[in-house]
Amino acid sequence: MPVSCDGIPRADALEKATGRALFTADLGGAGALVGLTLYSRHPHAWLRSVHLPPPPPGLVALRAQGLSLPPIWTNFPVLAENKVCFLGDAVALVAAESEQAARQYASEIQAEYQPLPYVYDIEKARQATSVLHAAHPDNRVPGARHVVKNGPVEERLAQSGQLHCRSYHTQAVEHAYIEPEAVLVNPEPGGCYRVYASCQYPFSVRRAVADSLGLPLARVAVIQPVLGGSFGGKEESIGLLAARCALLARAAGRAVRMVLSREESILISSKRHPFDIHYSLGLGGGGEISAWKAELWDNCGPYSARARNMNWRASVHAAGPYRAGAWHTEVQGLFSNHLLGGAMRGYSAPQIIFAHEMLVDSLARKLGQDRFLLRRQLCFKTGDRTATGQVLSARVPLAEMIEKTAARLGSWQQESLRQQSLPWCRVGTGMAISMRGCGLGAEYPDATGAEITVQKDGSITLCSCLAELGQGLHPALTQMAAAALGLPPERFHLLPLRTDYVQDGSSTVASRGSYAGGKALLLAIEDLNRQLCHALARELGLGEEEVRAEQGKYLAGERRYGFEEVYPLLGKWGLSHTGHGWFTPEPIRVSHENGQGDCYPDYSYSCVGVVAVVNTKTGKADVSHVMASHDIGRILHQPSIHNQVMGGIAMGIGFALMEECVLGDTELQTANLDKYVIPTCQDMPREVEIELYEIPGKNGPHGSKSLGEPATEAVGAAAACAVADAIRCEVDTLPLTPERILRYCAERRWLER
Amino acid sequence: MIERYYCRCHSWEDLQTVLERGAEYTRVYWLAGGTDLLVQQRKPFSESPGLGIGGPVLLADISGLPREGEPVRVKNDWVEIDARITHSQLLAHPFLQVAFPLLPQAARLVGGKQIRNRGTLGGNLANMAACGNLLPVLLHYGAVLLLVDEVGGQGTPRLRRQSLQNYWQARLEQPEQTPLILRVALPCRAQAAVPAGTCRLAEEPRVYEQFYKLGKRNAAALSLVNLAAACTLSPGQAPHFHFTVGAVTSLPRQFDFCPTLHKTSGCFEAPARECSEVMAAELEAEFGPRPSRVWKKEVLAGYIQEFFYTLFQEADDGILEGCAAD
Repeated sequence: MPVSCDGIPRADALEKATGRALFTADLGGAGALVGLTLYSRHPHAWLRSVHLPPPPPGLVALRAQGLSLPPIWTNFPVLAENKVCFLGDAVALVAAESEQAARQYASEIQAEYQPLPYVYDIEKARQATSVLHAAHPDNRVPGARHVVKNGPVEERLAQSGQLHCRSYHTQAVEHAYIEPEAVLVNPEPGGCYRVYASCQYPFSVRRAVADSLGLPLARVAVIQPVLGGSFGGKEESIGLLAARCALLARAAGRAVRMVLSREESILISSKRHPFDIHYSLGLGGGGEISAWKAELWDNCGPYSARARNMNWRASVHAAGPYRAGAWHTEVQGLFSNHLLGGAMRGYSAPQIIFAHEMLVDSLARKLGQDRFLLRRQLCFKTGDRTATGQVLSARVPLAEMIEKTAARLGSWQQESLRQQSLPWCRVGTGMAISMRGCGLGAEYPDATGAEITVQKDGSITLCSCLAELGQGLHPALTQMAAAALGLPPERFHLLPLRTDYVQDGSSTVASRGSYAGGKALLLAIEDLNRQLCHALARELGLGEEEVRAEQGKYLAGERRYGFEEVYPLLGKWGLSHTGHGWFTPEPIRVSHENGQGDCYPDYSYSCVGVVAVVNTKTGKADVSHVMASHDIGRILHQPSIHNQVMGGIAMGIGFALMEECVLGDTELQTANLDKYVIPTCQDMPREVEIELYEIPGKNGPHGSKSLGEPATEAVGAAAACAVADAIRCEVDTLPLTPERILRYCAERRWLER
Repeated sequence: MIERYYCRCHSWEDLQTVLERGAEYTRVYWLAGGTDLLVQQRKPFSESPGLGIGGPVLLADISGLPREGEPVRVKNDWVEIDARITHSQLLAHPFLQVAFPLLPQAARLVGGKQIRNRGTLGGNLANMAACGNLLPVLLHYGAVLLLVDEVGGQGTPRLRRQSLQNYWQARLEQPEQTPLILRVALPCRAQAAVPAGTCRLAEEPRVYEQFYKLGKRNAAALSLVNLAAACTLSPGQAPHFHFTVGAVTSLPRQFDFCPTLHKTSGCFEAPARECSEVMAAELEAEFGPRPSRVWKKEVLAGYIQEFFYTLFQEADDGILEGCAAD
């Protein structure tokens, strides 16, 4: 079925641009109390007591003692009772008529701590110099160990005439969405609660609220208003916030609103989790990789709900899109007193791609080969078998992408070199290639649903079990529906996601919004079309099999009927106006013992080339050119693709060059966006070239695949490779701030050219 | 406790009222562009001009005060600049571009365009702005501040002159005092400044100037290092270099050097490093050691080297030969 890829205007664009869009913090909630949280003053301590002064009338204060609160998502405390494990742990909650009154009271709360040694970094967490949870004395996150084993790696490493070993380290990165977390909880008659939350996954928020209040899920409704970005971040933090707000609302017997400051948001939200990655490659006589061994440790922070899934994806992708004779990957998550480690656009991939691309660059230098030619030689081709034993039967365009990118980088590099007036400003090029499993794969069934309803005036409402996060799900779904029914997009209205209207279609993650959500919508349209055909058949006195829908028309014999003629017949013949769609993918089976199996039905492929200019005297690096090639399957909405790629480039530049959450002994040093620096438009490359490949996937609607995460995941790696090339140093740690670049230069680890 | 009051001054009489009643507040915070308000709001009250929990604070909006003619004017051998001039106006001002080129250069590197369109010269100084670009430049030009303590009977503000250095020292020692900066005055220059690539011997002596700034990103809210660099070229004399270093320590400091530069000696790394060693040692002696000093010293050396290098690249060979550098 043809879908125009030109793109329709985003329905939410004008409202957002003019400031009329209502975010959670803007919602009325007249009479709502203002809630706030008192956080821990130590990263790790016994919490001996929390003394709440007598609250004045109209003020509610809570501490864990006496509430018997269960942990949510297995191990997250809504309120710390005996122990605090990071600076974002909550020790008390307050709600009052005004923020001023709440803050005044909070300043009088006395909490007594007995500080414990803390661990922030992976190495110390591994050594268990301090243990966070007695049940896990080695600090290993349960369920967060994954292994991929394919072939006799140790044997081949031992036999290899040449070993190549390197280690890499990445940092914690903040999502920096424009809207900090906010929640409004309304207690309703009948013991129900209505929750408005700036969240990515309302069903997870519902679970947190219901568990904290001891209510069945059906008594809690969560509504997602307009969302100001998430990138994977508004999951744990907003669930905790909503649970806290609900406890206050129950205690107060009235609505409570909690809106986080930027500092609070950065403190309690999960981060792109730091990794320590160790690679050992065995090389064969012909320059091929005979064995690829990877050991990955990631810093999950004090509690973890995502490590199990994040680390599974990490285990699948740890060897990159490269051929090897045998593979062995082990990934293990660790508890620490650092900030929460969780989902962020890319979901382990940017960290891993940085590591394996630096590794390939260093291997090329070791072998005396051209970096890009080596990539072309080693990368997966159509029909290859991956580390998990999956045969890549669909076309793999990596070699073609590499050739084109290398050629472009060459011309850009010459141009940049001509423009440099200072001899110590060096121009470097870098390339990163990646493959990404589309959707959830074997993490969790990639099932989700959608509904489409024709109203009596012919307008149409769409309802998805997945959420619009600002990523462009709304226009993509609207466009698909408009094309399928042959109607103008203005006829459609996508309803906000609320948990009491639709069933849980799992989280809007893994770039699956249009990939899985679109598929569900097409099934819903099929269902609606069945009703429409049925109605037309009754009207014409035909059998149901004599009427069929085709490209927005309804065919009965020789006659073609338009939608406008047919939809009124639904009412006339008492048929349902709603089509339901539930997409259930083919089951995926992967061995937990050795990670073998067909992990994802489809893969997206990317190749990003970067030109960077580095002033080796000051350490300042600038990305001047980017070529982004992505195989995304069928293009559904061209403007969204452009936006995703540009945003992904900015995020990748931040990851590579400037962003890092830094913790002090008792404070988050990068507490706000004045200290935690993210790129602005002035840091964007002066030239960006986007090249799209449309190799159809098996699962996505119309053969579409994924782009949200691929758009950013290889950018940081390519930028880091370009900087390393410019300064002729081996780089092993991010971010490449001026200080770190100067340190690399000072170490004089010059590379042979 | 957060207690905030806001008033907008439309006239000098309004300003006089604020000045008279200022003692009723713990702090009077002058508001012009407003770009630093949220930043100060998040700073502790003890850290002037932090506006965190504490008070009462009066937010006195001076953006509506009368403006007298052009924002930049020459008066009695001084160039006076309205402190409410925005960074965008500074960087586009044709007279400043020629007479005080470092000011537009530094203003261009303040934040992003939106910030430059709102943020003001006075705010950059009074708020001890983290980007801090303008302070070393103004020190370099020998700027004085024209402060208002009271408004006279004729409705004319009475101005008090204070050197920039003393103003900052006073702010650090007595953070509760927040005099209003009305204008910034720069002494008219004997030498004309020379934009890059236009150095000629027609008028002597000539001054070659550059401003450098390092931040983690290009729209840098936070300066890691900044440097106002100047070279005075007089026939028959060795070039004289004057450097004002900002962001490395809590106060900017100025240094003078007359290094021997040989054009044939390559990229001037050695003399640049010598200068930065001297600067780092003196800064450390005055302000104490800091971990960041090591790599900031390297950055300073890099910028000085760049200055030497571009000077020799862009200036006429003749002028440098005339200045006794081979």
